[in-house]
Amino acid sequence: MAVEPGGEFPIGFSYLVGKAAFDPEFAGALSDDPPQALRSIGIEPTEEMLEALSRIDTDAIMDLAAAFDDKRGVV
Amino acid sequence: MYPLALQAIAAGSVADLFAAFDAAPHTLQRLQSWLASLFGGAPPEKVFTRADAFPLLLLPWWLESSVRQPALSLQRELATSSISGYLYIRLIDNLMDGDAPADVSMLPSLSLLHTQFTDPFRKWFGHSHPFWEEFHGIWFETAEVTLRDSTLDSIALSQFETISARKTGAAKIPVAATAYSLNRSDLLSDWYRFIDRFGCWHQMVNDLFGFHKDLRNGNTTYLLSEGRQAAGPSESIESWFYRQGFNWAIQQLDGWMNELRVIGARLGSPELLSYLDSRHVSLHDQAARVRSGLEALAEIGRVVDLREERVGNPGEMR
Repeated sequence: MAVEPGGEFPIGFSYLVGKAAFDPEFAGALSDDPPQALRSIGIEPTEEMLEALSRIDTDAIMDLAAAFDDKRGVV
Repeated sequence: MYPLALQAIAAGSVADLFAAFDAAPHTLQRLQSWLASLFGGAPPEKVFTRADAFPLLLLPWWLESSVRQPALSLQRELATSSISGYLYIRLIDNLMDGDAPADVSMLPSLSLLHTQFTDPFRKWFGHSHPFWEEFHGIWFETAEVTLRDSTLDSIALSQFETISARKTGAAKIPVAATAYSLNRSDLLSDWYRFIDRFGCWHQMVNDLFGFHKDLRNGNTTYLLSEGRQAAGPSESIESWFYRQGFNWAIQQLDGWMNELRVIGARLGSPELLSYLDSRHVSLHDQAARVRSGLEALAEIGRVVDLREERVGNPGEMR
């Protein structure tokens, strides 16, 4: 899904991004073990979900979390 | 991005600063402890020469390089002054914001930092030298805009440009000191224009990648103010940010970068122009990574059909 002005976003997307950006552990879990990460927020993944999740570039989620890391210590 | 000579100067300047605290060992200990926490344990000289740091040490280096081969002793004293001045301002900011680990018991260290900040200027310029009028104007404006920025509950573009983005205006002081040392105060107006515009770019980068932190802490920024207006009553500000705000901010940054290139071309510093190119490329690389992450999360969100009412508010989940 392209992130463009006027684009369509699934319900809860903002929650998911906020959670990943706020919580490095959650971002890491989404990258390393998406099913477990989903269970940690009360979502029981189905076979269909797991199949779809396997196609997702989860490393990109870690990059996102790193970009918004508020402990960067930049001058 | 930072010449090796300037990297060495930064390390020497930090050593000079710490050495100046010899007579105040307890204050030095507190200062070093605060710096370790502030910079995540990284050596200060590395933080001040990071590619994404404000070019505090580079600005006077570029100016001198545009006139002559930089004098390393002058640049080292300037760097010690600039680092001290930065820490002086940062400590006050941390105390105003209530950020850990700074606390009011660190206030006495401000005396030492301010002394180190002004030491070379007092040595180089007599009491009636025009530098001091320049210094006072810049220093007082920085204090004024910092205070005004902290009291705003919404920030429009004009306020961002003349208040928020001017909080880094103290960077003009080492530039002024360099110009007056070289008897080239005629150069200053163009350099000031550059620093004011770069302040916009730098502040927006901070606001952009500090979006979640600012939102969580209830800070007021131009980006959040724009988001509140653009999102309207039916959309959350986070949704606006992911849907549109991130790209909007990148567009603002590109506009300022274009202006910076025009202003920078008049400054006679190829290194400065190369620096702008590098920061522009780096920002867009980072933006591309963020977009990839957003796309991955959007895909997960679509697959699992998350419901906000089911999973709650992310800010409450920490």
